Amino acid sequence: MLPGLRFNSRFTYRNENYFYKNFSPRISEPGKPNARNELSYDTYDYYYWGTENTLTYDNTFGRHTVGALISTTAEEQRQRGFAVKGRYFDNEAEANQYLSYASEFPNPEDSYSYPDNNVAIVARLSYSFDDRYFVTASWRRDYAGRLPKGNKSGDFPAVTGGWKISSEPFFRKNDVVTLLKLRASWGRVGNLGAVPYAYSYPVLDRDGNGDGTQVGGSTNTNLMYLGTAINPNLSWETSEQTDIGLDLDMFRGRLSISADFFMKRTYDLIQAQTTNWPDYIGISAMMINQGEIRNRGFELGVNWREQVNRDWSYYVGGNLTTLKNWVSDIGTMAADGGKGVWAHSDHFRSVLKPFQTAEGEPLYSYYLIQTNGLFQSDEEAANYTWTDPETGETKRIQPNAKAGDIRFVDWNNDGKIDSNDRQYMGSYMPKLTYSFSAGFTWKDLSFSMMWQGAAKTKAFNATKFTLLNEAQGVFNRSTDILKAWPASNDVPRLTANDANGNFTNVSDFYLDDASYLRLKNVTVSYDLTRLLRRNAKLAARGSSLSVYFSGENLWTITDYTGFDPEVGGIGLDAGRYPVSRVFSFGIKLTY
Amino acid sequence: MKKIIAAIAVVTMGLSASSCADFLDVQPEGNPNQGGYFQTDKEAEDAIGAVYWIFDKEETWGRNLFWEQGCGDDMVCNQSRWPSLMNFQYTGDESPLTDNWEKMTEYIARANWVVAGLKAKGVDKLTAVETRTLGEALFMRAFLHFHIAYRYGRADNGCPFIRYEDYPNYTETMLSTIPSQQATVMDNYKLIEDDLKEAAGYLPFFETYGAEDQGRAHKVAAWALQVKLYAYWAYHDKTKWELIPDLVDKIEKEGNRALLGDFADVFKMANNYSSEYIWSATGTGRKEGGPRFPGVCLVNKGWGIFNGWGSLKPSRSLWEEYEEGDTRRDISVYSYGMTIKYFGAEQPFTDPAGDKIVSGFMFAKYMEPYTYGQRVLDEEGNVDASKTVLSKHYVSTNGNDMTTDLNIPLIRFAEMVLFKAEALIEMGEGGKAAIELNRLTQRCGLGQPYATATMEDLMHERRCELAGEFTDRFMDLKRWKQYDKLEQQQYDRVPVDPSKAYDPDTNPWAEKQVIWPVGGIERKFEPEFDLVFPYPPLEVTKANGKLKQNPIGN
Repeated sequence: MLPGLRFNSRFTYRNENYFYKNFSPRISEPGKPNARNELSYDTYDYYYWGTENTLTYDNTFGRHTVGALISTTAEEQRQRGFAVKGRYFDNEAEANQYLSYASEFPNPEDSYSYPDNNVAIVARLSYSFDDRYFVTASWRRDYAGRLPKGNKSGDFPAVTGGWKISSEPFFRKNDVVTLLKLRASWGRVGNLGAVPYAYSYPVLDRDGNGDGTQVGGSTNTNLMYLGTAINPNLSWETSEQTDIGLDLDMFRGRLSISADFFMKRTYDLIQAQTTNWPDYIGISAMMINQGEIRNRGFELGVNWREQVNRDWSYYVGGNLTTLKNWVSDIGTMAADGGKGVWAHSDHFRSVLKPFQTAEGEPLYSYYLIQTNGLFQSDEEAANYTWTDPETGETKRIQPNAKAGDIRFVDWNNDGKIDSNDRQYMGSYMPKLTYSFSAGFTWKDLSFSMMWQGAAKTKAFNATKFTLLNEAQGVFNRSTDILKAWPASNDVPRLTANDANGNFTNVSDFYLDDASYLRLKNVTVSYDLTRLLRRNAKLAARGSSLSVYFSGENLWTITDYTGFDPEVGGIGLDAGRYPVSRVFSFGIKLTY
Repeated sequence: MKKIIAAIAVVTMGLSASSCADFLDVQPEGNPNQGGYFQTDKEAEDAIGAVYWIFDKEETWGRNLFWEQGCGDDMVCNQSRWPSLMNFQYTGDESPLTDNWEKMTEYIARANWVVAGLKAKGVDKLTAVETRTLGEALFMRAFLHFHIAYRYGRADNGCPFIRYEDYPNYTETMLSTIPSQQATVMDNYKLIEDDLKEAAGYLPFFETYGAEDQGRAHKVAAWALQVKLYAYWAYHDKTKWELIPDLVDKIEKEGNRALLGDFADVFKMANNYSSEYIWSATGTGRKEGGPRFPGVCLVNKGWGIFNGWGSLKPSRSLWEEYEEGDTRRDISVYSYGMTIKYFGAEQPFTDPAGDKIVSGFMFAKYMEPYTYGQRVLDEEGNVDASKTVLSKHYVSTNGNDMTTDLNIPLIRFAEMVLFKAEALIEMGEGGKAAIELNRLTQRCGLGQPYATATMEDLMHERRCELAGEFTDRFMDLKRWKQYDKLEQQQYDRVPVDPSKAYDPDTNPWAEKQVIWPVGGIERKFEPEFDLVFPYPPLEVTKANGKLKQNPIGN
């Protein structure tokens, strides 16, 4: 037909079958026995299929190159399964681990999970002139099966342009600058976040687990209740990003620099409603589209690569990214007419709830009481007073404080320390992330290393609540508790009941600098291909062989007091397990 | 050939466009729709079952509702985790309070849904089971609402509450509406009273229940909760006392309720549904249904055989409240010097020395299921804990969910007798009140000591009769204005070596020590602020002006 016109069709099918049989025997642990043995069977069948059909046209007319594309995709997935248990086996021998030997059977359960169907259509046009000017425009329309009727579709356009200045006739070819290119792009992407599958159908919820309620002698595990309110207007969350960038290659390609400035605006955020949805409504918070967040930053990458001579080459490179994040539109109003807030219930042991988001502040800001060191003496604590402007009466701001307790800042100056003294103190998102790598190759030996770090980031080390707090029951303590006042000013004094609220007040005592620099990877490899190809047959096949030895997470430089500074998430460190140091040895053989 | 390929391309893309709408319509399976429920009896029973499920929860009657009793004078919380709670410096953010606030309001919504769903069908069109379910839902709604109202409501600031049935299209309009806050707690009490009166109309008498329905709400439970409601309402409006004596008589005569002859028989599995039963949280040990409260009361680590948590430590002042000869003392509270029957063998009582707080006592009313069974030994002659527990079926085999076959009484007839006596004393009839109190004393070895009863006598009898039960001693002290009792220090009663049993020669009594408050703190109860708890602060923020917070003191 038309030259340059191509049609491509793809079909994927995936099927997963799961069968799990587990027997838990009786446990005689003194003081906490489990006298019930249980056999459980769990099985499910999962399938996924996806199809993609693409029609493309590419052609070049003289100095003009054009391309066009139109593509449709469709996908479906389902999972069905059930679980059965048998309990109280007299004899736990392997030959008896079958349901016919059990004497009690809790109710079996079936499941239908992850039902999802999606369709997308993409259209794209690209044009370039003389390898100097480039422009591409695309339009994507997504249909999400899980969104309510009438809101399933989202439109996501994008356009990019580039100008290769170094190809311009006025740009004299020289050895210093081999490539200079200016880029700009704008585009939107859709996001469904945490919208549950098959969201648009309001169904009842089931409670009862395996035990159920006991009324009379019978067990009912089919307890039905209305637990969710569906939002019929829920739709796509959209991210819109604008980017301006520069690519520069210099010194015959040995130095390459890439710089980008980006601005991202995410709007119609999908989240569980907090404002105007207190828990006492009695139903799980509704999902809504609310709010707008902006991110802005700068990215720079620099790489130097040089082949010094036949035996010897090396490279050095690094990149860094800055990020500023803030909520540009909170989307709700407070009762007094001012801006609302998103009050997050993320917590540590139901006691510490450090997060709240307000307009102009970063998402998931820490919202904490400020501290100001420790009282060094009982008199100092007694002299921390407030005078009531109306009555003239003077009273202690922290009536139970003694030497070694934390001094909290009475921000609103009302004579007591409570949640009205909380302030926004930034968020976990590192303002600066960076990495650099270097390596060399000498004859058959190669070496590379990569460092990675983050700066200007603070994490909420909630583990202090149990590790440093003698008033908290039966937990292990960190060795840092030996620094308790008066040994240092980092940890408040040991108490049996924390009357001053050193630990129960959600304050910046828990906020720690989480910046770090980590040696992420070191790899040494030796190429044995020459040795291998001494064998004529292997040489003819083009085989190759190399061995390598690498280490990951070898060294971390940080001041963070928790287990690992790479806390992740929103910065709530509840004892996040530290990353492991890994050593591996490998062989790579192509035959 | 090329033409064929082109045709396939066009058709494929055309197909995916036209059947889009059906393809994208993903429906869930396995759970019924929110609309169109309540068609059958089973659906009604499943729905009310989801409301009774609250009794299984550790956040409520499993354990956490009892943490507040650390504010009172009967006990101290082991581990002293919430000093702000126990020192009357509550912020409302203490996790026992926020946890059970969240659960109670969630289950009020569940009860609301059942009431509205059944009423929408038309009350006269309901089957017998559905009518009973409507009564059960109204009762549970009132029961949970009551627990919110008396703990958070003030005369000048009521609690939030709505009734779904007041709004015809509640699935469309009500689900995302914030329940409005009543102006005063008396308004809440009035709504609870209306619910209970209506529930009593739909609920049958307990005697009509077969074994498979015992444990459901019944008519007399609704009347009894009204008695409790009036007693607490009387704090604000003294005329409510007058309603109590007649209602208690009605419970006794029409409701066929009576005291058991011997106090020792009350907390026995065989008497779960005796004449003294009015309302309990039902438990089944092996099936792990019901509250884990018995395991919560059992000493920490259960002397090596069962996973007791020992969270609650009765105090010396409670033990000393009992007179010599009062059989209720050793049934309600275990102490050093006692030898108890435990998994078939004699166990001398000790309070684990490794606990954060050692008082020397344990709440014992729920221990009967643990007395049965036998010790099974392993090859080395040590107790095989799991086989020992298995030897009798009354106790859960799961060390993390320590339910038993003994129901936890929430309202029993003895409390009705006490409320009648209290009402009579308030109305100036001490002589009649004495008759009631004597009914309680004569079944626990004390005879009939009262000729005329005073509030002092009533407070003493109520404390001795109801120790360790969910009848809220802390509320009693608050409504009786016994502020000095609230502020007093609590002591222990342990021998010199708490890890061993008491022995007059080798392990005599130690000097009594203060177990609460520690650190030299002085507790100060300020009625203006401390009578009720503050609402959870996060709720006030999220309610965005619709929930007025209670005044908070220091």
